[in-house]
Amino acid sequence: MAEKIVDVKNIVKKFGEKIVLNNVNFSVNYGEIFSLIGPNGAGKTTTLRCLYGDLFPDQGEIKIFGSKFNPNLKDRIAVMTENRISFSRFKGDDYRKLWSMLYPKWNDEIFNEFVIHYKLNLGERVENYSTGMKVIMNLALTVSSGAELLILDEPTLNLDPVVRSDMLRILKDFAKEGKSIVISSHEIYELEEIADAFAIIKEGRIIYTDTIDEAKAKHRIGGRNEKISGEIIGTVGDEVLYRTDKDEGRYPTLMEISIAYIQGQKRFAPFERSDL
Amino acid sequence: MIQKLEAYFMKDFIEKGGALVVFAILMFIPVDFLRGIFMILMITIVLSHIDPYRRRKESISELMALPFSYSEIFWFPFVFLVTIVTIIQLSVGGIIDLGIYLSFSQILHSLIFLTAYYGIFNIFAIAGLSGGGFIWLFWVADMILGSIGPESQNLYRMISPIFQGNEIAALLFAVAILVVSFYLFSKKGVTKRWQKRSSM
Repeated sequence: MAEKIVDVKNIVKKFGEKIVLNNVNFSVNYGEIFSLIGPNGAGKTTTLRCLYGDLFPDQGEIKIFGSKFNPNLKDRIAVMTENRISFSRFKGDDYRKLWSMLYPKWNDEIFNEFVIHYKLNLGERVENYSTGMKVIMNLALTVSSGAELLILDEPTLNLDPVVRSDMLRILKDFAKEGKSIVISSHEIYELEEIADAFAIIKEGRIIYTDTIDEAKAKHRIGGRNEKISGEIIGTVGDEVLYRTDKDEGRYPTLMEISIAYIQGQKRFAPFERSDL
Repeated sequence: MIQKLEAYFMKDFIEKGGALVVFAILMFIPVDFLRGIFMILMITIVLSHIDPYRRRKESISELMALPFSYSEIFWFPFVFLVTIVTIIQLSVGGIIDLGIYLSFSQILHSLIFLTAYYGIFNIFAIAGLSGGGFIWLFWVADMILGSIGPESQNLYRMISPIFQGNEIAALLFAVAILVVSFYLFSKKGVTKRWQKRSSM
């Protein structure tokens, strides 16, 4: 078995003249939950769409399950897009039938657990479900597909706290079976709870990628006026994140690492005036 | 493959079944001109997911998120339409007792028309234009070009998907359009206009 379930090398994607992804590199190991973090428009969704063959990169290579991406691999990948499931006139049961026909390892038992627990009405059109129920339905289909790789775009958006907590636990259990998940999300506190590794993407480039534990070990947070020894990455409120191997300052959270890398040393402080 | 084709047919029947049944019934009217119009309407409905101006919820992306390839997304609707048109033409041939030769000729005529216009719709959609709008412009142009001058001197009439002056030439022309549209579809996709407005 190849060690990496996803291996993205130097992919470039242009929409017309606009470069949307510029030399993107990252890899995901088997059994790993990998998160893509970045501001809106950074290229997260485009990256995910390249992973499941919706978009073709202009340059670079994507390997999935150790092979160059090809459509025959797609029944081992289940995707939850940012638009959720949106076929018109589809009832819950129609989705179940469609997915069970398309995924050879479909698991009806797991799907039924979701249906019973969340009281999903399979006889009702899914377009009439509440937004939260649509997400649950989509996640139920994705997890029940039997796929080895899940690609999830904002999976917990619009979920209430209880369901959200259930979902995070389910995803964690899913990965424990040696399967992998690539998640794009703005919910960094949640990602910190479940993800093993991450990449920060900004303006189409991966500016930092690591495991969460390693990233925390390599960085420290210090006060803006404190003496620090290391490379300053960016500001986080009134503090700075810096990279050092010295034992000083305090360990950062994933949120602080993400903000500092995305924001850099620019700080938006409209109420701070030099003449006051 | 058959399982996927079946799944695709099921999806299309659920989403578009009502409108397709109406046009399928109307295609029983044995007038070529009307049959052509209803066939274009069926193409427009079946391919609405790739029309940049009709796509409501980016459903081609929804299809690509499932285990379908671009080739399958191109060919499955074509197979779906060929199946519907063939069944209708066979039924019409049986009802009005056309005989084997005429029935076969009618089916071939319809399939040439379907092949050409299916390809045309795709080419416009790939170019980021409204397939559902420009297909009618092509139909008008096809009608005008095929009607100019005496029939024997109009070379376009030979290959015209409407007039099919020479069935073999028209078939080759239709297949050429289909092949070109498939090449463009599999190389470029139909995401041009949509990509510009979608989130990244």
